[in-house]
Amino acid sequence: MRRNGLIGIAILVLLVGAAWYFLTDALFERQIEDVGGSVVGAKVEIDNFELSLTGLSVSLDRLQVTDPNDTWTNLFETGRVAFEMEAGPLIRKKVVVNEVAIEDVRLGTKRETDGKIDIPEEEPGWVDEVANDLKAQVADAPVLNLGILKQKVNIDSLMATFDIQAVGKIDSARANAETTFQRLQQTLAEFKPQDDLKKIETEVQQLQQQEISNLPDLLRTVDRTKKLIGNLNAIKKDVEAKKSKVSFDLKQVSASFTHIDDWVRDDFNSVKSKANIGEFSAQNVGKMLFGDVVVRPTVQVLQYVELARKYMPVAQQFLANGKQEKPPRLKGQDIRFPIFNNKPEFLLEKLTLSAATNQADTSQAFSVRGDIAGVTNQPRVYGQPLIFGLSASPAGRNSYEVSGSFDHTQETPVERIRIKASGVRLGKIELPQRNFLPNSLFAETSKISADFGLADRSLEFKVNLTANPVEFRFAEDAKPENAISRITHEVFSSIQTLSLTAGISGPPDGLRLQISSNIDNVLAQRIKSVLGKSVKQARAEIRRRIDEKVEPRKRQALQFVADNRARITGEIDKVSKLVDEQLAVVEAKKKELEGEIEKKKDEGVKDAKDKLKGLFKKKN
Amino acid sequence: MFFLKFISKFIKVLHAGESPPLIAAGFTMGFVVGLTPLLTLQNVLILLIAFLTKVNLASVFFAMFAFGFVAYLIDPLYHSLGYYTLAEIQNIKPLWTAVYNWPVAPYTRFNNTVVMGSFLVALVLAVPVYFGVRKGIVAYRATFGKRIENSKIVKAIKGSSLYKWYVRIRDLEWN
Repeated sequence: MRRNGLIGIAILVLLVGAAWYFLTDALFERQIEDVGGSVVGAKVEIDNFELSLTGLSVSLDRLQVTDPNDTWTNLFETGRVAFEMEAGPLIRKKVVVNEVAIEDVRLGTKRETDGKIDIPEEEPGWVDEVANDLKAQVADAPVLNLGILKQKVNIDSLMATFDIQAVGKIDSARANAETTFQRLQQTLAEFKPQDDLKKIETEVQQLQQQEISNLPDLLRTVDRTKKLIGNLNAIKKDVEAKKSKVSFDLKQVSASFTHIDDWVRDDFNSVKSKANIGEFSAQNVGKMLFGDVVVRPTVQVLQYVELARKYMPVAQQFLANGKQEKPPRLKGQDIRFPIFNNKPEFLLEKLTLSAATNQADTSQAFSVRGDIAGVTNQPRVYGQPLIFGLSASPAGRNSYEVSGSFDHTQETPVERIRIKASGVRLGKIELPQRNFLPNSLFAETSKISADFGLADRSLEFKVNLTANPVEFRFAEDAKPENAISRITHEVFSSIQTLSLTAGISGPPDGLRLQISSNIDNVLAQRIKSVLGKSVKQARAEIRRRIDEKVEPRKRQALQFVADNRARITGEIDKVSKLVDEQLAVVEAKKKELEGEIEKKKDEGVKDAKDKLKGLFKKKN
Repeated sequence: MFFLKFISKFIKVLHAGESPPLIAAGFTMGFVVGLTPLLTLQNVLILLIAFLTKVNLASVFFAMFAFGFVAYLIDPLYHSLGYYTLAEIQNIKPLWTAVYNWPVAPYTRFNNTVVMGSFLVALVLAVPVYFGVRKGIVAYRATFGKRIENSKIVKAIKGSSLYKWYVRIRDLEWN
C-alpha cells in the first residue's frame, strides 16, 4: 500500500468534494438551462439551483421559460420549487421523483431581458408539412375584393397563356390505349386455334360418316369422340383465358378515359383561380372567417405533441438498435436492453400545478390548477401513459376542463386532448385581416367542446362552439362604402349567436379541413346574388373555350377506343363461337354413341336371357 | 509540458530504479485506461488501485496519454467490435440484459459500443502488454539502454538548444 497514494486519493476526494460543493449547482443549473433552451427554443433560466446529495433533494428559487414566439415574455415563471429524489434508483443512474407541487406559477410574465437564443434550423418535419397544408387550405378560400364584382376578365390573353392539361392527358391516354390494342392484336394474331379446329372438324365429319357394325367399332368411336372432346375443351380453356385477359385490358383502357371530365374540371378550376374568379361556397366562407382561428392552435398543439414525442419516444424509437454507421469519435452508440423493473431513466410520477396569468386587470386573469402524472423519458419502461387533468378558470367564472393523455407506451404514439367548457366568457377573439370582413369577435357566454386525437400521424380533431351574444367588429377605417362591405356589415351586425363546427381529419398527405358556421350560408347567398355579371359570363366563356378544345379530342379518342374494342372483342368471340359449335356437334355425337352403347347392352342382356331359357327347355 | 514531464520521468524509470514488474503493471493499467473512454466506473477503480499500490505512476500516466491517442485513431474499430458484441451475438444477449439491470452497472457504460469494444481490446492485450513491457525493460536495461545513451543521435539531441531549453523548463517546474 502506498501511503502517498492514500494521501493523494484523500486530497483528490477532498478536491472533488469541494468542487462538487462549489461548482455542481452552477454546472447543473447551466446544463438544465441549456437543455431546456434547446427543447423550448428560447431561454430557460433558473435562479439558485441547489442539489443536496445528503438529503437527495433539489430546490430552485425561480424558473423562467421564455415564450419562443415572444421572447420578451415568459411562457411561465415559477416561485420556489423543491422536491426529493428516490435514493434506490440513483444507484442505477435513474432519477425518480414521486411528487412535485408547484404553486403560484405565473403565466405570460414580462421578461427583463430578451429570451432569444440562436437555434440551428431543423429540417422541416411532418408537422411543418401539416401546417403548410392547412394554411394553404385556408389561403385557397377566395379573397373578397371589389374585383370580384366588376373585374373584366380578358379571356383571350388568359387562355393564350394557359396550357389545357386535359388535351395532353387525353392524348397520352389514347397513346397508352393504342399500345394496349397493338399488344392485344399481336396476342390474337399469335393465337391460331383455327388450324386445330379445322383438323377437329374433319375428324368430326369422319365420325359422323363412320358405320358402326359391332361392339369393338362402337368402343373405338367412343374413344375418338372422348379425345376430340378433350382437345376441344383444351382449346376452349385457352380461348377463355385469352378472352378474360383481353377483357381486363379493355376495361383498363376504358377506365383511363373515365377521368376526362375530372381533367376538364381541373383545367376549369385552374383558369378560374388564375383569373381570381373562384366559387363562393358556404364552406369557403367558414374557412375564410375562422380558418386561421382553427388552424393556428391546432398546429401549436401538434408542435407540442411532436416535442413530446421527441423527448418521450415510443418503444420503437427507444429500442431502435440499428447500427449507427459513423457515431462521433469516442462517443459510440448506446445499446438498449429490456429493463425488468418499471423505473425509467427519468420519472416524475406526479406534478401538482397551480398557476395564474399575470395581468394587471385581475378580472381578465385566469388560473390553472391540476395534475400531470407519468412524465418520463422512457414511457415503454414505465408502462403508463402521461395523463393530465387541468382546470383553467377566469376570475369568478366557469372553468375550462382540459384533460388528456399521451400514450407512448406502445409502438404507435397516441395522444388525446379534450377541452370542455360551459358558460365561459371568450371575450375578444382576433380574426385575420381580410378585406370587408370583421377583424375581431366579442363573445360573452360560450359553450365549447373540443376533441383532439392523434394516432401516429393521423389526426382527428373536432371542435364545437356556441357563443351568445356575439358581436363582430370591423376595423375602424372599414366603412360600408361599396356593395360587398355593405353586405358584410349588414350580415355580421345581424348575427347574435355564433354556432361553429370545425374538423380536421386524416393523414398528413390527405388532411381535410372543414369549417362551418351559421354565418356561412347567409353570407355566401348574399355575395353570390351580387356577383358581377362579367364574372359569370367569364366563367361560362372559359368553360366553352375549354370544351371547344377538349371535346373533339375526347370524341375521337372515345371513338377510337370503341372501334378497337369492338374489333378485338369480335375476333375473340368469333373463335369462341367456332369452338362452341364444334363442341356442340361432338357432344351430340357422344350422346348418340352413349345411346348406341345402351342399346347394345340391352340386346346383349336379351340374347343371354334367350340362351338361358333355351338351355332350361332342353333339360326339361 | 505536462506530457513531456511524464515522458521524461518514464525514460528515467526505464533506466534504473523501479522494478520491471511494477513499471509493467503501471504501464498495463495506463494502457487499459488510455485505450478506453476515461469516465467509466472501471477506469476509476483501476486508477484507484494504481494510486493505492506501488505500481509506477509515471508509466501509468505515460501509457494513459500515449494510448489515448491510439484510441482516438482506432475508434471506428471499437464501435464495430462493441456493436457486434452487444447487439449481434444473440447467445449473450440475456447476459447483457441481466447486467443492464444490475445496480451500478450503468456507471460502467458497458452498453456503449466504444466502451465495450475498447475494453475487450484492452483486456485481451493487457496480459501480453504486461509481459512484453516487463521483458522489454529488462532487455533495455541490459543492452540498449547504455548503447542508446551513448549513441550519436542521443548525444546530438542532448547537445541541442531545444533539449537544453526543455531541461531548463523541466527543472524550473520540478525544483
